Amino acid sequence: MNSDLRFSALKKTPFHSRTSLASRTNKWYTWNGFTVPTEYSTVELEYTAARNGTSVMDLTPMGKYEITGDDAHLFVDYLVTRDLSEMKDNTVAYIIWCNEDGKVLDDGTIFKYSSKKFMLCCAVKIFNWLNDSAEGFDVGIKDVTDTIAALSLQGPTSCSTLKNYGAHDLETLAPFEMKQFTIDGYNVLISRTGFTGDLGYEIWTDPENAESAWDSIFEAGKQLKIRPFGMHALDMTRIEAGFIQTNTDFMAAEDALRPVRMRSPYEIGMGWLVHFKKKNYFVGKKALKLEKEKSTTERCLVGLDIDGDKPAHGSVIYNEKKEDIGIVTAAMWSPTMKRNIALASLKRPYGIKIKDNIFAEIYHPEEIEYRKIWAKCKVVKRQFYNPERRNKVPADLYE
Amino acid sequence: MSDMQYDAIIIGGGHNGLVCANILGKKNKKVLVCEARENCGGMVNHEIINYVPSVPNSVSQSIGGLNLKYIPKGTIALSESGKHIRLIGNLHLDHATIAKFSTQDADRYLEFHDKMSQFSKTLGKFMLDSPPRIMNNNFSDYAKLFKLGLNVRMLGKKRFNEFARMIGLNIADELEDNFESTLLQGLIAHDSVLGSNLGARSPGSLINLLYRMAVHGNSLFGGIYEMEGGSESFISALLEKCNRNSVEIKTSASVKNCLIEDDKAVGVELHNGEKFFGKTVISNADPRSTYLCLLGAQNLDTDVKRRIKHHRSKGRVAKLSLELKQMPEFNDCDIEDLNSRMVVSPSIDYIEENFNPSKFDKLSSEPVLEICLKKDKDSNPSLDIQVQYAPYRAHGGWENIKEDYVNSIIKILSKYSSNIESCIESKTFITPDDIEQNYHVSGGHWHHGEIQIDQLFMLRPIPGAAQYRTHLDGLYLCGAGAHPGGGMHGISGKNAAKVVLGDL
Amino acid sequence: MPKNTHDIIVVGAGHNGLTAASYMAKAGLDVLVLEKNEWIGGAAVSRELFPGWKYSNCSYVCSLLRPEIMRDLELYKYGLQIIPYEGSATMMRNGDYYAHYHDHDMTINSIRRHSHKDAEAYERYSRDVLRQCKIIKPLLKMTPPDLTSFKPKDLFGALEFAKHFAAKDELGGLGEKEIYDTIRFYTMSIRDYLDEYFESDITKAHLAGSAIIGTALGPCSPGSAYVLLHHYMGEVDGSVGSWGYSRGGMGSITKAMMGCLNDHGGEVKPSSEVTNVIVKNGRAIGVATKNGDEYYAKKIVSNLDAKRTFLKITEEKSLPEDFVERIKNFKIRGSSGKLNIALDGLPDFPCIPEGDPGGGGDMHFTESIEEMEGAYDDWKRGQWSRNPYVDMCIPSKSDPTMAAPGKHYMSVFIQYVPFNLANGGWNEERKQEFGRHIVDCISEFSPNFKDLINHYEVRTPMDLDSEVGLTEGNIFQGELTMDQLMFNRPVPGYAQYRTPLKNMYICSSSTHPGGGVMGAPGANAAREVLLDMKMPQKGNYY
Repeated sequence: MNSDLRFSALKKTPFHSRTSLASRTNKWYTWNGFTVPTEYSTVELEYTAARNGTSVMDLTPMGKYEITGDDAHLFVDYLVTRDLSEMKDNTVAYIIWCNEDGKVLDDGTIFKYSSKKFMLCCAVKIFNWLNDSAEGFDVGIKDVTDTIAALSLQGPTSCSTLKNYGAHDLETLAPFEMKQFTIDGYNVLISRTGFTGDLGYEIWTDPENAESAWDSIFEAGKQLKIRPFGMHALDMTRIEAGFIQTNTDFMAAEDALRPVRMRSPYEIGMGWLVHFKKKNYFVGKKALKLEKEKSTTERCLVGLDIDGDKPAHGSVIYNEKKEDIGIVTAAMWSPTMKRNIALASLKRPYGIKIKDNIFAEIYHPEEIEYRKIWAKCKVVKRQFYNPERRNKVPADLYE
Repeated sequence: MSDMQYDAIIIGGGHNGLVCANILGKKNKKVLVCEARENCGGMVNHEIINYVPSVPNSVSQSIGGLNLKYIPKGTIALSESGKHIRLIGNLHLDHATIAKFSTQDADRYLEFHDKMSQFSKTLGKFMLDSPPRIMNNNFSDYAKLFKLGLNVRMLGKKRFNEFARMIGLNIADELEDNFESTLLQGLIAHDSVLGSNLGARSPGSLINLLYRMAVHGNSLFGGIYEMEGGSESFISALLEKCNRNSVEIKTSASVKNCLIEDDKAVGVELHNGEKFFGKTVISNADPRSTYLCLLGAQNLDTDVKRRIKHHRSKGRVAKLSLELKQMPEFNDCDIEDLNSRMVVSPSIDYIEENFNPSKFDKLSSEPVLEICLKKDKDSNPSLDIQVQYAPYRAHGGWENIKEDYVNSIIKILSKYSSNIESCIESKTFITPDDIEQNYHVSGGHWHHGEIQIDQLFMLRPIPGAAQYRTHLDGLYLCGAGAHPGGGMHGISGKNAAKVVLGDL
Repeated sequence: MPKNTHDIIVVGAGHNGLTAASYMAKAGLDVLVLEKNEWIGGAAVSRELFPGWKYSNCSYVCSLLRPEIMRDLELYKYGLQIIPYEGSATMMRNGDYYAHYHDHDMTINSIRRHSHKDAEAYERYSRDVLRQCKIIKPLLKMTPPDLTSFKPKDLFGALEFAKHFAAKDELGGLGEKEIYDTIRFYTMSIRDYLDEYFESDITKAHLAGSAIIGTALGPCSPGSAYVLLHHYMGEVDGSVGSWGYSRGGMGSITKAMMGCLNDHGGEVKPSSEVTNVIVKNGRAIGVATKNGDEYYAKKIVSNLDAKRTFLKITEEKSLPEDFVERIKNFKIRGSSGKLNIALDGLPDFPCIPEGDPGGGGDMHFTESIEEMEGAYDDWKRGQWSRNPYVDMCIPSKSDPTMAAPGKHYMSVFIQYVPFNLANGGWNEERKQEFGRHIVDCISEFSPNFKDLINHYEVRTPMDLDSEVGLTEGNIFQGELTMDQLMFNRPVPGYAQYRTPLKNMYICSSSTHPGGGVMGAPGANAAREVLLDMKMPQKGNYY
C-alpha cells in the first residue's frame, strides 16, 4: 500500500483527475470513504441535464460486491425479501434486505450474470453482513468497490451518447436489463438502471479504463447536451422519482443507534418487495410475517404535495390538533413540475387512511431570519415524476 | 418414506432426551427417539464421566419415579504432604476435620456452607424452572422475575446485600477472605471451576459453584451421591421407563436434518434417507449442531447465525482411564478413602497456573485432577481421572502431544500414589475433541455451552431461544445447552417437555 | 462551641473532594478541605519534579470528567482547557503499526490496512458501544438506590434506575434484544466481546487496552468489557469516547476546582493529615489531624477510599461489625505503575511514519490479547509483567506548557504491576529495576529513546498508596467488577454516599460511579449532603 495513503482520510476515485478538472466549484463531499463532487457548476444546470440531455455522475464509491459460487442464486434469494427465483440472466433487480427483526438494512440493485454469479450494489457497507449471512451457502463474497469504476448516465439523450461511445444497439436494451460490450479494448457492462426516474444507464468498467472512458463519453455526448452531475442534483431527481435513500429517508438497521429508528419494509413503502410465497427462507421472514399478521406496522413513508413554494426541509408534520405526526425526510421545489414536494415518514393512520388536513411547519430562511410557515399538505403518490421515455423500448434516439 | 405421524420426535437419546420422552410418553403422546449411536445415554457414559450423581426428585417424580440406589460420596483434597482433607458432608464431622487444620477455617466453613446453601436454594428455584423473558409483556414472565426478586428480598437485608455482591464475584476472593488453608481453598475452588472455562480468579466463577450446589441438594460436599451401577443403571432405568411409556427408540439412527414445511418443523430425515414426521421435533443435541446442522444455516436469520457462531462451547475437560492390575496405594489413604472423590488441586494458585495456558489452548504440565476409583467384584480396578483445563483443539494438535500429556498426568499421580506406575495395565485418554467426534457434541463441552452469566438464564443458549423454543416453530431444545445446563440431572429435558406439552 | 468550626469538612483535596467542596460552597456553606500533602490535587496533579518539566505524575489524561461539572463550577474561568487527542497507535514488532484517529474515516482506512472485515465491523462495534454509553450516561449522575430498603424513596429510585433500561429515554426505549445485549456487555470478558466483531489480533489488542487499564482483571476475565465502557463513557465536547489532555497537566483540573472553591469562600488546608474522625454519641462531629489540631463541622465528607475512610480514620467500634467486615473484603488492588519521563527531544518511533497523527495520543506495543493476558498472568503471580501493556503518551506534543519548546514530557502507564511484589515486596532497588525494565521495553521500539532521557520518576503501586493515599495503588479506589458497581459500591446498602456513622459521608471514587477523574462521585455526594441539610441544589448537574 502506498505509504502516504496510510494516514489520509479519503480515497480518490479512478475518475478523480477528470472530475476535479470538470469541477468549477471545488465542492466535495465524502461518500463511502471517497471524495466526489457535490456540484460541478450549479445544481439547476446539472438537474436540467438529467431531464434534457445527458448527465454523468461518478458512481464508483457505491458499494459493490461480487457473489459467486454454486449456491449464489440460492444465497441472494435468501438474503433479500424479493422473490428472485424467476430472475433471468443479464438482468437487474431492485431489492431490499432486512435483519432478523424485519427491519430494513439497505436497498440496492442486484445484477445477475448467471445463477453462479451476481453483483450487488448498495449505499452502506455490508461486506460483513454478506459474509455472516453466507454461512451455510457455497458462495464467495468479494468486495469489488475499489476494482470497478462506475458512471451513471441519465437523461433523454443518454442512449444516443452511449451509442456514439460504442454501445451498439443499446436502444433495444429494456429497463433492468444489462449487456456486456467491448469498447476501446475494455469490457464495459451497461445496465439500463438509474436513480433519476428518467431514461438512463449505468456503466461498469475497469478502473484502468476510467479516464479514457470519461473522455470518450464526453466526446460522444458533445452534441447531446452532456454535463457532469453531482450529488445535489441527484438528490433532486431522486426525490421527483420517489426513490428512497438509506440513512436519509430511513436509518439502516445496522447503523441505527436508537432501536425506534429502525423501519420495516412496510414502513418505507417497500412492502411490495416482500414475497412470503418464496420457496426458501429469507432473512427477516419470521418477523415480517408476524408484523403482517398482527398489523403492527407503525409508520409509512409517503409523498407530500405542499402548498406554497417554500421547500419543507426537515419540517415536522402536524395534524389539525397540532399533534406531531411525523417528519419530512426529503423536500424540494421541483423545477420541472413546479410543485412543492416532499417525502415524509408519518405515524399511521396518517398517510394511509388520513391523507388530508395535515400541515408542515416550515422554517424558511429569509435574509438571516427564518420565517415560520404553516403549510397545508396533501398525501400523494411518492413517484411524483415518471416520464413515458423512461421505460420505452427501443429507447429514444437523437441522430 | 414413512408417513408415521408422531407427536414428538426427539433427536438424541441422552438422558435429557429420555427424560423428555418419558414425560411426553406418560401423557400419551406418541414419541420417537432417534439416537445416532448404537446405545442411548449420550455423554452419560463411563467413558466421559467419573460417576453419576443423584437425580433431583422433581425430575424423578415427573417420570413416575426411578428406582435407583445411591451411595454417598466423600471428597478428599489430596496433599503432597499426606495431610489430606476428608469431607463427607456431615457438617459436624467436617467441622472437626477442618478444625484439625485451622479452627478458624472450621467455623468459617460452617458459615460459608450455610450462606451458600441459602443462596443456592434461593437461586435454585429460579435456576431449575424455565427462565422468563424480559420485555415480553407476558404476565407469567414478570411474575417469575418478581418472585425471584421477592425471594431474594426475603433473605433479609444482610444476606440480600451479600447476595447482590456474590453474583459477579470470583470464588478465589471469597475463599481467601474466609479460609487460611490453601488446600481447602483449592478444593472448593476446584468444584467451582470444574467443567468451565473460568479460573478461580475469573469473576463469575462463584455462580458456577452455586449452580453445582443447586443441583446437589444445595450442599457443598454433602449432596454428592454416587448412583449405584453408574451410567448404565441410570440409562437403563430411563429406557425401561420409555418402554413402559411406549416411547419408540431407534438407535444407529443418525438424523441428517430437520424437515421444514411452511417455516415449521414437521419431521426429521436420517442419514440413510428415512423420513419421520411429527408435530414437534425436540433436539437433545447441542445448540450449535441443532442450529447449524439440524435446522440449517439457510433457514436462520443472519443475526441468529452470528449469535450461534459466538456461542461458547469449547470443552475443557479430558478424561484419562487407567485399567489397573492391582489396587493402587495412595499415600496416607486407607481403603475407605479410595471410594471418595480424590481431588488434586492443592491451591488456588495451582488452579490458576493450570488455567493460564488453557486460555490460549495450551497445556499445563501439572494439571488439576479429580480421581475416582472403580472396582467391581469380578474385574480389575480402574482409575477414572478427570483432567480440568484440557483444551479443545490443543495448540500443536492433540495427536502430537497426547502422550506427553498423559505421562505428565501420571507423574502428578505418582506424587500421591507411589505404586501407581506399576499398577497400570492400559490407558485410555479422551480429549474434548474426541468427545465431539464420538458423541456428536460440537466443542465437546460437558454442558453443551459455557456456564457463564452471559450464557445463563434468559440468555441460554442464545437470546431468543432461552425458553426451549428455537427460532423455528415446532423445533425445541431439551439438552444441556438449554437452561439450566448440564450436570446429569435431566432438568432441561423436564422443562422442555413442559413447554412442548403446553404448545401441543 | 469549640474553635475551628465549619459547616463542612472534606477530608482529602483530590478532584472528587474539591468537586464536592465546590458544590457545597456554591450552595452557601462554609467548607474546609484538609489535605495531607503539601500540594493539593490528590491523583490529579501537575508537579515539577525535575526543573523545567511538569509531570502529570498520577492520572495523565482526561475524558470522563463530567461536562456538567465543568460547566457548574465554571472551570474554564480558572484555566481548564481540554486538548483532544489526535490519534492513538499500537506499534508492531514487524515494523508496521495500527492507528486510530480523531477522524472517523481515517480510522476506518487505517483498520482496513489490517483487515477489511474489521474496518466494517468497527462501525457496528462503535454503534453498539455508543449505545451502551448512552444507556449508562444518566445513571452516572444518579445516586444508586438501596435495593434492600422498603422506603418509597428507594423503591422509586430502583424504578428510576430500571426505567433507563426499559422505558423511554434518550434512546427512545430499548427492545428486548438491546437489553439482552446490555446484560451480556456487562458480564462478558473483553476477549469474548471483541471476538464477536473482529478477526485480527492487532485490532482486538488495540481496543482491549481500555478494558484493562487500572484493573486487576485480564482481557479474558468476565466483566472486563464493562471496564472498556468505563473508559469510553466520557466525552470531549460531545465526541463520545474520545480522550484528551488537560492543558498544563492534570493538576489544572484540581487547580481550577480550587479556584472555584476559593471564590465561593471555601478553604483548602494543605499539610493537614486527618488521623481520626471525632465521634460523639454515635455522630461524627469533627476530625483530628496529625499535628494535633481539631476541626469541628456539621458534616464530614471523606474523599479517601473506602478502606482508608472506614478502617483508618474511623474507629472500628463506631461502625457496625458486618459493615467493617464488608469493607475489609472490598477489593481494591493495585495493578498499575507509571513512569514520568523528562525528554531532551522527541523520541523516534520508527513504526509510526513521521507526521502521522496516530502518534499524537496514546501509543502501545501489545499486539495480541494473548500477550495482554500473559502480562496479567505475571501479575497474578505477584510479578510485574515481563511484557507489559503500556499506555504511553507525550502530552508536550500537543500542550506547550508541559516542557520548554523542543523538550518533551512523556507519561508511561504500565499494566500490570503488583502491590504485593512476590519475594519480599518493593524496595528502592527493585523499584529502579522495574523502571529500567520498562525503559528497555520502550527502547525496543525507539532507538534514540534512552539517549533523550534527562530524568525519570518511577511510580509503583506502593508509591501511589503511601504518597497519594490510594490503597494498594488502585487508581479507581476499588475494583470495577460487578460485585462492586452501582448499588454495590462500595458495599451493598451503603451506596448512597452516606455511611453508618451519622453526619459522615464519602465522596471518593470508591463510590458510584467509580474512578477515572470523573468528578461524579463528588458531585453526587454533595447532592446528598445538601439534601440532608435541606439546602437548595442548583446547577446543570442536578
